[in-house]
Amino acid sequence: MADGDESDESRLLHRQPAPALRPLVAWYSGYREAGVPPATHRGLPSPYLTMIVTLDDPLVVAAHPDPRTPPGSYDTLVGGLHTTAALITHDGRQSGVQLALTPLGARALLGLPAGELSGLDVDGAEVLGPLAGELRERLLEAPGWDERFAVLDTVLSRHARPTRAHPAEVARAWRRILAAGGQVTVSELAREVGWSSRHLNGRFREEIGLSPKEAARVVRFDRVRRLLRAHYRPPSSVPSGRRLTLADAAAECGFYDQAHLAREFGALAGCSPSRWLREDGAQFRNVQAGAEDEPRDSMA
Amino acid sequence: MNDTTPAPQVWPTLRARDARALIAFLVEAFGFEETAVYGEGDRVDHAQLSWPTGGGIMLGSVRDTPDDKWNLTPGSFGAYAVTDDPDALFARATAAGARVVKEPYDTDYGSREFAVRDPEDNLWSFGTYRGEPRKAAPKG
Repeated sequence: MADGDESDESRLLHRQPAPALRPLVAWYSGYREAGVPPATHRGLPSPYLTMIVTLDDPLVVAAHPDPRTPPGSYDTLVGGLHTTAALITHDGRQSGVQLALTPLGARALLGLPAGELSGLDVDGAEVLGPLAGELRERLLEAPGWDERFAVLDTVLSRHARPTRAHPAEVARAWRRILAAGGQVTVSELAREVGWSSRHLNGRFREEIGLSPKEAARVVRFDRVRRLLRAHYRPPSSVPSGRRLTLADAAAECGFYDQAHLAREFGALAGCSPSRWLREDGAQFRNVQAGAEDEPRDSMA
Repeated sequence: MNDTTPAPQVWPTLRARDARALIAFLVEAFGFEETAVYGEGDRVDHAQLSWPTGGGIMLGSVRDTPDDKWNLTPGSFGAYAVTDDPDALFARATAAGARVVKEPYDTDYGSREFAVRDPEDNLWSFGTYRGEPRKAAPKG
């Protein structure tokens, strides 16, 4: 794909990392928009750590998941798993790349367990050292998006140091939570890996950055919000394609009822499902929202 | 790390019935150094012992699960070799007649690996995992 002169073009691209990096990085996205109304994006809880390397303008975080972290502006940012939304603002321009890092891959890419970044956003240089600056410089030098994604592949492949330091039981429990869409209890998980619930809770949190129960909530939430984004149609709309109501989505993803779904949305996203859908649909695209259900290529 | 010795890229590997006891023996009797021992209780998921003058071995507890990807019998050795392109090497090895034990797969620790047997039934595995960094040599 030729990018040509892209400087004033708004776009959001999703890419898969090089095969060797896929256990560590679920997806890349690249975004650039300019000349649009100032806006606030919600950085929603998800099963991935966030890494953002900005291009022309810094990332402005108006509210971090941890309210003790003051608002700030970042050239590069690494964020751990979290259970409340971050608020990211821009004044009409923003550009950068975002990476979804797997919690089990954090040791290999960041040199520390995801648990050490639990609920935190930190300056990229704090965890990546000089690599953060090098990455940004090389991304800025790259002439187009293909080249930028290639820079990510090259630099991260060189930097990654796979390690086997995480407990096999925690890895198993994490994979089980993902496979179950979060619909698995802590006592089931503990029984399956052969640990006490208490021991599993402690070791899981140290490694992943959430308790198994929180992780299950985040995974279930992530699933329902992707389902809603892909298939939800407001009750007043003319049916086209699969029509999914909030009650359908709640039932399908393991919520007790629609009220339960709404409470979870309030807790994890900071707004109602319908408000999120409205915001998400109205905006260019919520970059944080992820790539899983999206076309893999240009949406510009 | 101030040690400039090249890291070993082919590792002898073994499975042990009592891995913790065997590690203690190898350290005590031969002078191996414990670089990493991962696992809980009696079970060792993965251990790396370094030889003082360079090189080392990798080992773990024997598993009785049917889906064991690397079912080496205690009392025998296998080898793990580091490669940056496991898929290409897998194609080459199987084309030459190596028997597939496990096709290339992504581990949750970020390595891509496969396992094959040679014509004499020796067990080989190959992957991108390069091992753990050795502990710095004690000063003086």
